[in-house]
Amino acid sequence: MKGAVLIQNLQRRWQREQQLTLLAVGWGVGLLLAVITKLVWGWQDFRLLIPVFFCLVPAILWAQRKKTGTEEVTARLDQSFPSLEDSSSLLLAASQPTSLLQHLQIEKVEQAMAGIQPPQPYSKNLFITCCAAGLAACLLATVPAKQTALQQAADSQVSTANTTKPPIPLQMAAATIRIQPPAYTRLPTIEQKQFAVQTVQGAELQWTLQTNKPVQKMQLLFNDSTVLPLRAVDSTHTRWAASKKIDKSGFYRLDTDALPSDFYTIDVKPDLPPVVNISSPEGQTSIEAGMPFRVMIQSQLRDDYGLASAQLVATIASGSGEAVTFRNERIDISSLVRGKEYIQWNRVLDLNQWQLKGGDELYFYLEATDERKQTARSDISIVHLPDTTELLSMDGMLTAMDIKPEFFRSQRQIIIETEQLIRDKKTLSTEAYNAKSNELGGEQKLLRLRYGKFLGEEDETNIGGHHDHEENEAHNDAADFGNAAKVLSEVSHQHDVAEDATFFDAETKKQLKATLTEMWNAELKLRIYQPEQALPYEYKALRLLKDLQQQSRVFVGKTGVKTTPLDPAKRGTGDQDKIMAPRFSFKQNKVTTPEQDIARALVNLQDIAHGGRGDLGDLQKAAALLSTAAGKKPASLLPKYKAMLRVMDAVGRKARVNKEDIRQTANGLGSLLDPAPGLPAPVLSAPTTPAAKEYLQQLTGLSN
Amino acid sequence: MPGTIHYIMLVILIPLFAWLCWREWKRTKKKRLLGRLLATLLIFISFILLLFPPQQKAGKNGTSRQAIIVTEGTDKDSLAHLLQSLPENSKAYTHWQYQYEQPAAIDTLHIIGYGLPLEDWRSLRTTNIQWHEPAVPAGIQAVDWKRLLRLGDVLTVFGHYRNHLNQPVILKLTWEALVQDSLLIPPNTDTVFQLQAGTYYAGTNLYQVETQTDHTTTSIEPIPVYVMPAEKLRILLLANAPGFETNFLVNWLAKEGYPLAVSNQISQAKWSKSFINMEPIPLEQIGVAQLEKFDLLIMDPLSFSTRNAGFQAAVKKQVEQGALGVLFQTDSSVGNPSWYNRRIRLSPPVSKQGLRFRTISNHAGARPLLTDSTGTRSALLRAGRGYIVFNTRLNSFSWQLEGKTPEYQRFWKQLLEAAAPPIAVPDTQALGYFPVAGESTRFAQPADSAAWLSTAGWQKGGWYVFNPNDWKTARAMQTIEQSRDYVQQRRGLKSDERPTGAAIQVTEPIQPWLILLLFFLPAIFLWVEKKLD
Repeated sequence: MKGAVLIQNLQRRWQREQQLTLLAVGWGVGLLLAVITKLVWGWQDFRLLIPVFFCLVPAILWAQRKKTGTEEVTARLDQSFPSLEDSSSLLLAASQPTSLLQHLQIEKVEQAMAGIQPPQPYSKNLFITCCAAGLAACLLATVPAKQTALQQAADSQVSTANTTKPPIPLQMAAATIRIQPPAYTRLPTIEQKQFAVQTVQGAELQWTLQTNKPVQKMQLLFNDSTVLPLRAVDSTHTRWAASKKIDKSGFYRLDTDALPSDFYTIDVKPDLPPVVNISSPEGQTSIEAGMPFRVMIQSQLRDDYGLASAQLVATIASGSGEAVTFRNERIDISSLVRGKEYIQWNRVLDLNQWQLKGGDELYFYLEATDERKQTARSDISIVHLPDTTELLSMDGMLTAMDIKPEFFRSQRQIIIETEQLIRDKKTLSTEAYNAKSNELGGEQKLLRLRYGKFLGEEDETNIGGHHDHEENEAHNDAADFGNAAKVLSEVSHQHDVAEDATFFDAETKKQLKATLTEMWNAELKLRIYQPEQALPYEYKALRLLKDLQQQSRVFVGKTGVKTTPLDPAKRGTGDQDKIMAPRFSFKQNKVTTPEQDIARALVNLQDIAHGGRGDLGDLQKAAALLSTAAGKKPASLLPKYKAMLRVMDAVGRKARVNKEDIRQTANGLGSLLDPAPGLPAPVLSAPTTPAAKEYLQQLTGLSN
Repeated sequence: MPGTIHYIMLVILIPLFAWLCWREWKRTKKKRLLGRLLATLLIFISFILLLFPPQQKAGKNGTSRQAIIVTEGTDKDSLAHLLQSLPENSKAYTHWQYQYEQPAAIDTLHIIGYGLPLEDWRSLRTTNIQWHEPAVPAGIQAVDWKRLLRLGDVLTVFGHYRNHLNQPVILKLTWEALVQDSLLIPPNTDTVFQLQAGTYYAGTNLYQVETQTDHTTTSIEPIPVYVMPAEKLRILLLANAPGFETNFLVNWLAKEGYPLAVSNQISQAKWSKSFINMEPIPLEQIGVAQLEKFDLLIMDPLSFSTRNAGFQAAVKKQVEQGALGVLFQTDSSVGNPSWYNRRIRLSPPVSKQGLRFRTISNHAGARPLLTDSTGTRSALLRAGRGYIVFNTRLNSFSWQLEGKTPEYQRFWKQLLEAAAPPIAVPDTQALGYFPVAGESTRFAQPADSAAWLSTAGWQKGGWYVFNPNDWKTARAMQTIEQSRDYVQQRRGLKSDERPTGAAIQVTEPIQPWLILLLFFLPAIFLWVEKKLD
């Protein structure tokens, strides 16, 4: 019995080993096929083929398997062990009735079987095939997949985001980019190997490229749709060159016979126009009578790469009314500013060189040009020269109110007498001169006091203040004991309170105060016997008084005029049959704005991120917008644009989209959007519950 | 808790008992009288016990065993320390394990970590419960924002941040990785923060709050917002005279794409009609059918009062139903007192800078909407379910002339939005603010419903389910607050007392069969006794 069992065990074992060997062979073949697919086609989804190989090939082999029978076992045993005397098959028949001879033989064989070591013919095969299959699996894991050019480009551009050195495009043996900035910038010429360029406006770029094999055609495609073909330098068609002058930022790529290359940025620092500023004189100034005809000009000029030329442009307006004449003058200061990046130009302008007289006006500004022929000018400054004759004339004052002309005449008189005094200085003696000057000062003072009356100051009748307390003392009451205000009023003088004067409003009072200040200064100068220095103050006081007087004559149109109400009975009683009632109908065209295109693309990206299909049309519209923006800001937006192209490529191929690309694209598109404006829209509210509706109905008796 | 019904029953029982005793007493045969009275008394006592069952200590009495429930936020060291301090046979479970295994004879239950939600606390049936409160985690303790906005609204995120570091922390609110707003939180402070951002497009938007310490981002939390597209109000403008205000308003609204119907009276019986961004409709007789096409009516109250009764009734009906809003532009009169101008009065004319105008004076019953230095210029009234706005500022067009378009836009946005009927949006807000995937979340609508959410992200209906890793600190604080509330409730403490690690006694009523036994035995005795008699 034991022998039969042994034979059956052996048979089962050998059968298993054979089958496993078949399986291992099948898998090994499948793995090898998968390795070949990965290497040759670079199929991303080759992994899908593995189950096919694994199932198909072993299945085929399985169908072809042969079964090991017990006969084979016994045959091998008999062959291998002569001690069995070719009788091992007898052991299988041991359960059936046998003759005595068979019994004896069976016993003998069983004894012999106990001592033998059964052969294992299939173990070695199994071991070898398993090792082979294992090797194939390792090969599959380690062999690199063939990549498409886009993937390669995508991998290569990852590094450009962080470093300033993007890789050289494929098939390029050597590449040189020569950047020559304009001469006036005084920047050095640079030669570099990287295709991404950072330079200044107006630089000349020269590309010299060498390929490792001959190329038929090579050109550079720029983001503004211009194409720059490269020309072959020699007959081998391996060396190519081109040059271009760069004025604005953008990006470009290299187009050869093979696949197009990656995008490269051109970052251009713009050449800004010069900045001119006149710090003095500011805006509008006027030269008072008696002051010299001189203007102190202080200005600053600057440019990033040096100025080319500058000039002061002046316009002089003479005359008044309809007889105004203009003439232009120029002062060229190019020799001073040429080549300088910053210059502070100060000049005292003598207006006599241009024959300016009283009543004229001078308008001037500074204009500067840089090497790129960009001009800039400063603000216009105006200098006004006073017309003393007009000031002293009595036009327009004879019809004024009575209270004012007296003062004006006095001020005029003082000016006339001061000028006379100045003219007579040589003929008079010092004492007489000083006495006259003092007398004029006194008259100025009187004038000031008369005027100051309106502001509640001391006047000529009570120089030193008015003390009029007699009537107040009789009103001391016992009830006022401890009244703080009363106590204060006893010991203080309630004078000089300008706010009490209510003749004029605040504006006029301010001007009156200014006039008084001028009169003070004139009086001071006259008192110290310097009438020449008093003259400007006197003129200024006269001018202010004149302004004051004429101010009340300015007519201002009143707003919100209420006209007499129309009589409604008389309105619209005419014959209106021929009047047509106007009808107007307008429909706004449903035109999608760029913002809506970008918003739609963002919604699409969300859908794609969650495994949806996405709409390629929407993405393309937004891609065009992103491309335009990337042209202006290539350093920040070009990587986002490239990410968007990868997303669109994956969507088009119905492949899996990289999450990081989606994030970058959304970031780029989002940077183009502004927050939506808050237009009137219905407010959101919680829905009215049935209970609230019922309550309101009961409360107001409303029908539903 | 005994309610009113219990006391009513008690009031009924006492005379019943008295009557039964009297019946027993009155029986002719006085045999076993004492026994009978005692039985009646026992039956009465059993009824009382059924009404007011005595409480016993929850859980089984037996060997004193202790167990630990480990919840989120447990510190390994504290757990080890606690295990050491407890007897040998104490075991630590998670909450689910404990619910599943229901270990027997647990005398004291220790909860370690942030604690449990309120319902889970209430389901614990042990004699003593002790909660070991952990250290409060640092970070965003609480946060909130409006989940539903209109396009053009401003998103405001506000919350409470605890910074326990010696370095400042920067909070940034970003949209598509673009920084919208940021805030610096000083070291070792507990502050309230507020961040704002604009809305860019309609649909599901995911903003993020980033926390940065020392130039490294320590956490990024999602702020999901559903932005509804901007609805254009449909406006009907009836003017009784042409004017600059009407013209400028119509031009601006037309340019922004609003559907408008304008009827301007240009003469005695002549009207100029304009239909912008909508189909022309007859405006001679305006009734409910015509008014249903509009959200807002703008006109003068005086001319409204002189219109025919049919028009006034139609407007009244639509406004009270909440289907129409009315904006009354007036500077002279509000018409005779009626349903649409209850107690609104205009002040006497005021003159300022050459302009004469009136302000709204008596606005009892009306809410002032826009005020300036002269007084109230606009006021809002409710009429049924709708709104009526009175406006006396009729020279807003001058802002357009001065180039102050944003001010003009803001002014009209306030007026038009106040009068227009609101849009009802369903309340899909999850209670507790953070629906998390893999957890059960309760909702407000339908009432007290709960759902088990499996996938994170945006769901159908425009609401968002968070990942288990989102807003960990804020959710932990919510759990801690719930645990504190439960502990305080059980201890019966006042609201401002907050114990930590409080031991709670949980009781349950005794088994009813005991009481029923107390009822049945005397009842059987009485019945048998009656039969024997």
